[in-house]
Amino acid sequence: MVQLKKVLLLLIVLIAVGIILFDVGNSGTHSSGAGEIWWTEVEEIEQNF
Amino acid sequence: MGEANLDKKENIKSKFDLSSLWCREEWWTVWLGIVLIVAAVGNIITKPVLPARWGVEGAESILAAIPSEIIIGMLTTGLITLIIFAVAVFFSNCQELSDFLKGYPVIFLLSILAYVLGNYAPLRHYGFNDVIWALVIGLVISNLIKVPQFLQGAVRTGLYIKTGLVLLGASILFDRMLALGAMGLGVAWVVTPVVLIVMYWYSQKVLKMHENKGLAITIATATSVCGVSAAIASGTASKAKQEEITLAVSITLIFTVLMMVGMPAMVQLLGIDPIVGGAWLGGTIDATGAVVASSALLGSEAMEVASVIKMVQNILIGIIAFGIAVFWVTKYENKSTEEVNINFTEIFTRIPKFIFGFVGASLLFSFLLSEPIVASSLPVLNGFRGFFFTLAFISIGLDSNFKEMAQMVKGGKAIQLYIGGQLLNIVLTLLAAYIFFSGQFFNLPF
Repeated sequence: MVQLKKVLLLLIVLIAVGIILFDVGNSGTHSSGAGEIWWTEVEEIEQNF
Repeated sequence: MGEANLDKKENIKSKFDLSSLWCREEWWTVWLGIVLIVAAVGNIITKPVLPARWGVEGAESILAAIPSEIIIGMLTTGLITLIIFAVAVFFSNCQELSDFLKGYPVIFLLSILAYVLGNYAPLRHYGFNDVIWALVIGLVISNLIKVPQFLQGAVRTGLYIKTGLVLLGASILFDRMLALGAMGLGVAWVVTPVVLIVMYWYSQKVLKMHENKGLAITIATATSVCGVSAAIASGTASKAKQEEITLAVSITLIFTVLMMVGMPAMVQLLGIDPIVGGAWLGGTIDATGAVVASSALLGSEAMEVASVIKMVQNILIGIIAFGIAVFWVTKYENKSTEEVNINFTEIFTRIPKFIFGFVGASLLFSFLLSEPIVASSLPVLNGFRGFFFTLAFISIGLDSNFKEMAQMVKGGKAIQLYIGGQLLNIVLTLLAAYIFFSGQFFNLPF
């Protein structure tokens, strides 16, 4: 069980790193992303009101 | 025995005295927040000048982060923040002022470095913002080098974080909660409290996280509401350890990356209607920017629904932080003095004081100030709030050690809590999104 948890955790981290390295979401085509954690700094949020 | 009880009661009741209003750092976070709000509303201060975004078209080089014309402005930002925090330190403990004055310039420069690194657009897209870099910088210095003595005087996590939280209150605008009518509230305000309560119950009854209640509630709020800002607000309201807030923020960051890419793919794979998909993403993905970026992949209408749902959900931070603060004071802090009845005065004395400023700022900006004043002053306050949180995370990093954090990860309970809670959140939000946004049960307003 402990080993399974470790493998699962490693897999999650590896997938996250993989996404970032291979840029699956293609950051170049978006104006915002996970780094915009304060909603008042996301332009689209204001525009949608 | 009866007399002893009475003594204890008297002792606790006499804890609040008027001088605490100007002698305690906690109250100063409220006063500083009020001063900044008045200055922003009165157009006395402008947005803090901080490093710009780079790694984008037209600003590829790192040098674009600090163009020469902003250097004076940045130094002014440093000077203004030095002065306001120095006033708080002076009144709360004047002997610590000289240490603070020596250390603050370095903390300020480290924060600027965190901003420069965090503003590199390609990495920022995946969550590596100034807050994360601030943590990394702080942790590297404290764990690999050792924090120099002169810096300690300016490592004041509570002062920075609570002042930032008072300012955060200003951007929690209750008048916006009806933007999508009852349907937005149905997704954002029904599922969120259910997930929060179930997660906390699960952490205590099943995972037995009795020693890490602060961590449990911080993870539960970050998962159910909105990631980092909710983690900061609930963690501070429950007086969680700074390592606990750090861990909650880190877990949130990793899963946000997975969800912002995985969930739109899932919507397309399952052939879910884009509007329902947008509502689903808006109610589940933690960071607001990630909600916008991922829902944009489903089209503009989906992005609109997702953004508004997220915004409506963000408003819940105020209510939840206030609820947690009161719950903690009445349920847990009362344990050592079981014989004392908790009344309003007791709650007032024990509750973290920033809550008053936080709720007050929210009510002021939601209901009392006119729309043009809110529109002109909010960017100023948001700029300072973001900067104060970066200062706070530099301090958290400088004050934390890897060993303690590793101890919390051990056993995997924190991650188990996050995954379990997020799965429940995903299922319940999909159900709510289908009920409220499929058009089968309610007429859509667009």
